[in-house]
Amino acid sequence: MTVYDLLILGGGPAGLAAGIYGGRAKFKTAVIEKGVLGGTVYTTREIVNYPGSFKEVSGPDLMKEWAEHAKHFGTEFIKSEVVDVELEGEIKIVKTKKGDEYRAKAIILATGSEPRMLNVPGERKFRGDGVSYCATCDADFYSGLEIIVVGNGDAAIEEAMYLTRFVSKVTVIVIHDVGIVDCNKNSAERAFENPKIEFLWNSVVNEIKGADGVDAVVVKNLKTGILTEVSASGIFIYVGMIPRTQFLQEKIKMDSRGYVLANEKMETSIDGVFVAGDVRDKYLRQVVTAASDGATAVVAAERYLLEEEAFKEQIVAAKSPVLLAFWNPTDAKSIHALANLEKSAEELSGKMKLVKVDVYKNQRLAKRYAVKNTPAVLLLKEGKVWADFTGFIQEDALTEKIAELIG
Amino acid sequence: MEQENRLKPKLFTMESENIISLTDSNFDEETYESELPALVMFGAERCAQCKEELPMIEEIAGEYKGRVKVCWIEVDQYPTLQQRLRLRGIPNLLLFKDGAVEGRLGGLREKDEVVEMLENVI
Repeated sequence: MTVYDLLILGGGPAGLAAGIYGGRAKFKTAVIEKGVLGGTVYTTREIVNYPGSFKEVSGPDLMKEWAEHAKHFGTEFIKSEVVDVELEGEIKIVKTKKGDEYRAKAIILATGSEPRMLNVPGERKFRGDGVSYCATCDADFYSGLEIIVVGNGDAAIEEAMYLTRFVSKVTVIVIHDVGIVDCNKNSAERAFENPKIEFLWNSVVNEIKGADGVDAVVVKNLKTGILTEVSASGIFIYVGMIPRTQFLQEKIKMDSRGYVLANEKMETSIDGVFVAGDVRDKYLRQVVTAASDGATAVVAAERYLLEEEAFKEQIVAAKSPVLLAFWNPTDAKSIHALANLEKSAEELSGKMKLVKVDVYKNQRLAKRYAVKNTPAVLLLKEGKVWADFTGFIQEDALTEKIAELIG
Repeated sequence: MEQENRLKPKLFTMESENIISLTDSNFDEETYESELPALVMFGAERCAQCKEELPMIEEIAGEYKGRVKVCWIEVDQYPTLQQRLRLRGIPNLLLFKDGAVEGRLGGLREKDEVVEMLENVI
């Protein structure tokens, strides 16, 4: 069975950028995506803040270029939905809805996020029949009608303004006090001046009602508790996003909202599993930061793969016993110990192999052998620890042990 | 020309021979007057979710061949049909049987949901 070097889950900007870097690094790389390549960006009409895209490129056009770029470097694309993963262990397994299994040495999670639902009565029933999450798709169906937009972030306010080109009136339901919106200032000012937009403050949606389609929305004022029925032919919901991490529950460290936690190198709590893009717990979710995450994740994965390879070759598969020396270039004591070890290794050449590990560069290996201080010396026989010396190394004792080991 | 094609990907490059393209002139004949139940997908070029749903509809067209007629229509070209069928969003699946609309599924749906609607109606 094929084992990929790198499997990227998700084909949005983070996944595609990772695909470009992975292919370029000559890794056997594949991107698994269930839908259209481009992720959330695919549903964006105009991208105006990605560097170089000031001439108003559409989301789909930009993403098509990225996908072609990744293909150009040899990255494969698999159209399938991931339903389960096995992340522990050297070879990771990815299972899809169709029942296929894919194997990889490293994984990049780039599954992104999806619109959050309101979870109020009527929302599910009228989906596609008055309840919409996509103004680009559905604005035209509401020409001359009155509609409601729920939310007050960038997406909500910008889509509300787009909708005014079609509809007669947009009522925006805002949870905050009068005049407070979460979107950027520029959009807020333009929306406040738009004669077709009316705001309902301190309000939330309680229910979506209708006969054949949506007829009205029940709005609750949070300050007074009063329920009002606002008649509307449609409701567009933009109340934020939720990460697509349901299939990762209990398998990786996440925050309370379900975003995957990672360090600066995009390393997650599991060795060989990296994360990129909107699915990561991060400050700014934009195309440019998704791309950046994708690049970082691949370079970190590359380092991981090299280290794993070196570990296997030099330590696990070594023909002679191994002297594994952990040292730290900033610590004089460990530099001195290393010099002595090099001398001994020279004398024992052929019978014993010295492998030096700079703990600054290779923290994972130090973690693997539970080495906390330097210098530390492990004697390995057939890949297993046979004796260990940490901190102050008594040369006599070490020489004795080595002699015992190599017989 | 080539430049234009590159920048405007055609979403509905529908190659499946099992799917009938509808216009306003053959719509009634293929749906209301059809002997077989007819599943119609309403979509448009600008709609990402439509493109996401399309491969599943193509699968259904193959699996239900001979039992259900599967059609699709580009809504932007036929605005009168939108009004007549009271469409409020795309993608939208309408199931016609014996001259009436017997099922509707709006928004992006899972295959299971579409199969369930088909099995209930036919």
